[in-house]
Amino acid sequence: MSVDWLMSAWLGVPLAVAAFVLLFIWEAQIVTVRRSPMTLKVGAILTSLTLIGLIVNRFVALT
Amino acid sequence: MTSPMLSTPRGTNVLTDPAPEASPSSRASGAWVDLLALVLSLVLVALLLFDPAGRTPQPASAFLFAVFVPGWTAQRLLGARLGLLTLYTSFVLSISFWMILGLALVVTDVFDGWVDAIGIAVALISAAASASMLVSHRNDLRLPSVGRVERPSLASFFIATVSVVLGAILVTIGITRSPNEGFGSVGLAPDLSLFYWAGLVIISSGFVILQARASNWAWMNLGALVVVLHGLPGFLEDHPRFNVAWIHTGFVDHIATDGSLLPGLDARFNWAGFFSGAATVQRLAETESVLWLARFAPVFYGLLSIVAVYLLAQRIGSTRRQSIAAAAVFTTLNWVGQDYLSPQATAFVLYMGLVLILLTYLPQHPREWIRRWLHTETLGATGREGWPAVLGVAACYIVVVAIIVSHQLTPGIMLSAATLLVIVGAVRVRVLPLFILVAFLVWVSYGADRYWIGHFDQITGSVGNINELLGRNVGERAVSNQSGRTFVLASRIGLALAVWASAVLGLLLGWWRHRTSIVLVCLFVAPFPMLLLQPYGGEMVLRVYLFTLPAAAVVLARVPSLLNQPSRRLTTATPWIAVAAILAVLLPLFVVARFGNESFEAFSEADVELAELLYASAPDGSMVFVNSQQAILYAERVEAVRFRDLPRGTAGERVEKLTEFLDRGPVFVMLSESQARDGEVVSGLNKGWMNELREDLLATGRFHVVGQRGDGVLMEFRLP
Repeated sequence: MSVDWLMSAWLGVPLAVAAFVLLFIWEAQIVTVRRSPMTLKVGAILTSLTLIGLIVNRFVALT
Repeated sequence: MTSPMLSTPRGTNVLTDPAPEASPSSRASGAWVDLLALVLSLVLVALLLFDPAGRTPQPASAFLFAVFVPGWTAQRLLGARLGLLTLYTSFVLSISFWMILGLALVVTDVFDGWVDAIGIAVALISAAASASMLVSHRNDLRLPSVGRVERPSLASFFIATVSVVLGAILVTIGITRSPNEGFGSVGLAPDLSLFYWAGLVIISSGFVILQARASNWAWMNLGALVVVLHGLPGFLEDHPRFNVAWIHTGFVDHIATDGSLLPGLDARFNWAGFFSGAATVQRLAETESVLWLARFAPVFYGLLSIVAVYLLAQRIGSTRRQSIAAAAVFTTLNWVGQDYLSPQATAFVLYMGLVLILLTYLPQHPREWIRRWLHTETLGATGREGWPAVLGVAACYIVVVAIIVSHQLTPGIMLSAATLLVIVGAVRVRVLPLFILVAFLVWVSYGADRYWIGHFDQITGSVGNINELLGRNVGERAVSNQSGRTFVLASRIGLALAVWASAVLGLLLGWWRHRTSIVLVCLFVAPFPMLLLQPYGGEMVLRVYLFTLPAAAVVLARVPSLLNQPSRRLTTATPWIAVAAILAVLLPLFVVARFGNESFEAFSEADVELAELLYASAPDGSMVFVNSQQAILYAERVEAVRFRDLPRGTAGERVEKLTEFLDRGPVFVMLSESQARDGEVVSGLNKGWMNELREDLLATGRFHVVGQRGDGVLMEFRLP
């Protein structure tokens, strides 16, 4: 099975937008001293880690 | 109108200075700035709509509008009042806005069709918003009263005005009496007329006197110092200096006219935020290039930088006099010359904006263990709560994105600084370092992949390789066989080491006195890890110096108060005489270090004429060979006329290698006066080496002289 789509921007960019939105909301909760829901924290971290994993995979595959 | 959602319980609003209440005069001045924004917006709209052919020059109005009005208007709509930080963040947010918007238009391939309409729309929205603010605050439009100015203030005003005017007159005379090209291996310093130095002495003496009087009028002298020091080549020389500034105007022109990037041509096109933003300015200004910005770009960046350093000093609790002194220290020690029209100069301004927003809106007391171990001071203000804090975070994230899409190195320093500030607990944000890391990786992976695919090892090969990093950053920059050049290089290394050593001693002194500023420690330390990553063509150490300088300047300005006991204030003349003596040594040293490359970084009339001849002669698809990069390259037709280094070897070997390029298109060799001086001063070649090279090449019979300008020559390479 081809895994080219794993390296494409069609997957990476939407995931990046999702990660940025979640990170921003999490940060907003922190600076307003509100308790962040666990789902938000886990979602932001998992999305970011998945994105970083994709990017590292892309680095390895293309270099 | 201020939205109630944006107000804190205490009634302060987002993106305003920390003062609890604005004075009546500052409110009035805010209305005056609204009026200025309205006028700039309307003038630009009128010029764009009613003079579409661009007959009326509009660079000034377009530039001022672009770099200031959108940010100011947005902040005013969110309830901001006038303050130095509001003014500074207006520049930061406006520049970020155009960089992100311009790049978005380019990568979606709609720049050419949309940019003019978007420019007009932004100007119209800004005009409407400014008009609305003016109507709301119409009663504040009154001139400030001058009847209550006290006698000491009048005396200071008199000292500032006389010293600045007299100094400016002498500097002007000095510049007209100094040669404007043909500088020696020490650069500008030995060639400057005594009148210039006399003007500099008067302006700086006025500054010292005003500082001794703790007068705010010292700002006038400090601004004048920035202009006469950092603007010196702009006033003196006939043409904008520095080859890279010319290259950047060529990149901007390509985007402005073609609406596309050339990531395969140059790595910088992979971080094109700055170029795209500048291209929108070029389109709004309706000029052929942004070369008109290059001449005085150092003054623009210098003035913004002193405001940033002043605000940083204020935020960590320095007195007003110490804060102005810190800005002056920054000005007189910023010799690295990274303030030309460039992404890194702009990124530095944005980086300082990010730091100031964090420290003003989202500060907090450092962690207990940090306070105990480092004997830290605490930040005075509590920052913002509720929606204003969220908007502060949004402003930070916007600035972060603008930096990441514009420059390769600043994100690393920004990540390092943000991480340190979060670890010590000096700011309330926690997620920002992760956001910076993810955004940087995303951009490198998807936006700049043309840069690293294929030569990843080359980019990362130096990581941790101390020998190579030291060699490229220091060794290669410190060696010369010319005494003048050696003096310039020694002055630079000496100044950098002296600043870093003094700053470390200042920080230790602060620790000893239980007055460590943990923020300054973080900002000073943050750039150094970059030295271990990449030599960046041997320039990494310059960038690290620049980014450590704001914190170092604030530390140095605080040293006198740390040395003095409270009972021994700066009331006697002795310390001020010492300050004057330090300035007397520092200013000439600054001119030597800052403008020591002027012999080859300045462009003579002949250099410019030779470049014009090249672009008039070289058809599309031409390859131009130069002996060194110190020439006017890529100033026009970036995609169509490419440049390469002239192959090394004998004339016959050079001809053999050049022949390989003939089947790809016309081949030219350009040897300019700036390259001749670069060879003499930097490479240590004998005087007249370029004439010998030209004669050698012509003797092969394969070159045809297209034209000669001064000592420079343009030759076309042909088949036998």
